[in-house]
Amino acid sequence: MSDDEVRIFTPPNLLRAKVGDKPGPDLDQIVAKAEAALTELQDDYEVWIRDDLQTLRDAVVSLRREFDPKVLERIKTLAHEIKGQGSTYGYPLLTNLGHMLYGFIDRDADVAARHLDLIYAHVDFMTLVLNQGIHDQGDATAQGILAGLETAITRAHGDDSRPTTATPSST
Amino acid sequence: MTINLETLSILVVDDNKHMHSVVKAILNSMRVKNIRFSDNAADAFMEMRQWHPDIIITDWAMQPLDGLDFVRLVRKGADSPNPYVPIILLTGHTEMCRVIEARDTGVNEILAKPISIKSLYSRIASIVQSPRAFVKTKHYFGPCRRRSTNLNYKGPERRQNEMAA
Repeated sequence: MSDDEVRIFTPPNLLRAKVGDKPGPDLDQIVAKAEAALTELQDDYEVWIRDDLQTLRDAVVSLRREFDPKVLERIKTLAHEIKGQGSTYGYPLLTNLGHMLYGFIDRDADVAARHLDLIYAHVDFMTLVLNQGIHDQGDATAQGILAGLETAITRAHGDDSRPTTATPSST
Repeated sequence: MTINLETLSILVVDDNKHMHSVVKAILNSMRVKNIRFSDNAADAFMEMRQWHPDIIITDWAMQPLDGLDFVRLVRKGADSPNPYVPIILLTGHTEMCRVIEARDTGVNEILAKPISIKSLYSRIASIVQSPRAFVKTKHYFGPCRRRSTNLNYKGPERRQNEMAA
C-alpha cells in the first residue's frame, strides 16, 4: 500500500453483545472486594518482597566484588517491579523507593555503579519500611529519609538539578 | 452502574507471578472468572491459538520478548489468531515517549503500575462499550489512535480518504 493510504475497519462489537444488559456490581463494591482480596495477599507479598530485597543485597555485594553490568540491570529491573507493586499492597513508600532506585540507575548507570552504597541505602530503607510496617506515605521519619536520599542522588549525579523522584500514581 | 463482565475471558501475560495474583484478585472482584495466565509472549501466543480470549492484559517489561514485541506479533503476525483482540498494556513506564511508542505499536489501552482497580475497570469498560475502529496504513495496524475528533482542527488532513472528502 502507498505511504498515505489508510484503510479503516470497524469490527462488529461482539463484546458488547457478550456482556449483555445485566448490570455488574457497583464500582465501590468492586473496589472494596478487590482491596479485601489484596489485603489477604499482603502476607504473601511481604514474603516475596523480602526475597527480592535479599536478592538486591546479594547483587550489591556481588557488584562490590566484581562489576557486571548485567547485575546492575537486574537491580534496575527489580526496582521497577517493586515500584509496580508496593502501593497495591499498601506500601506506597516502597513504590516511591523503587521508582527512585530505578531512576537513579536508569539516568546514568556509570554513576550508579560508582555509588553502590547509595543503592544499598535504598534497599535498607525499603527493609525499614517493611519491618516497621510503614503504610503512611506522609510518615515524617520516612519523608526525612526520602529527602536525604534525594539529596544524595543529586550529589551523586554531580549537579544541582533535582532527580526524578515524582511520586507515581498510587490510587 | 457498571457493566457485568462475568462472561468475558481474559488472558494475562506477565513474567512476574506476583502480578498474576494481583490481576486475578482485581478481575475476580469484577466477577471475571475466565482468566488464564502466561509467563511469556511465546506461550501467550500459543494460548491464543487454543483459547480465544476476549481481552489480553500484558506487561511491557518481559524477557525474551517484551510486551510490545507480543503486541506486534498479535497485530501483524501472519499467523496471528486474532489481530483485532483488544490489548491493555501494563507498565511502570509512564513517560510520554513510552506511551506514544506503546500507542504506535497497536495497544488499545495503557495502564500504569501500581494498578488502580478503578482504572482497570474503566479500561475494560471502554473496550467493551466504546471500541475504536481499526486502522491499517503502510506502517501501522491497530486501533485508531485518534481518541477524539477536534472540530476546530484547521490543519491538513493526512488520511487519503479524508483528503478526498
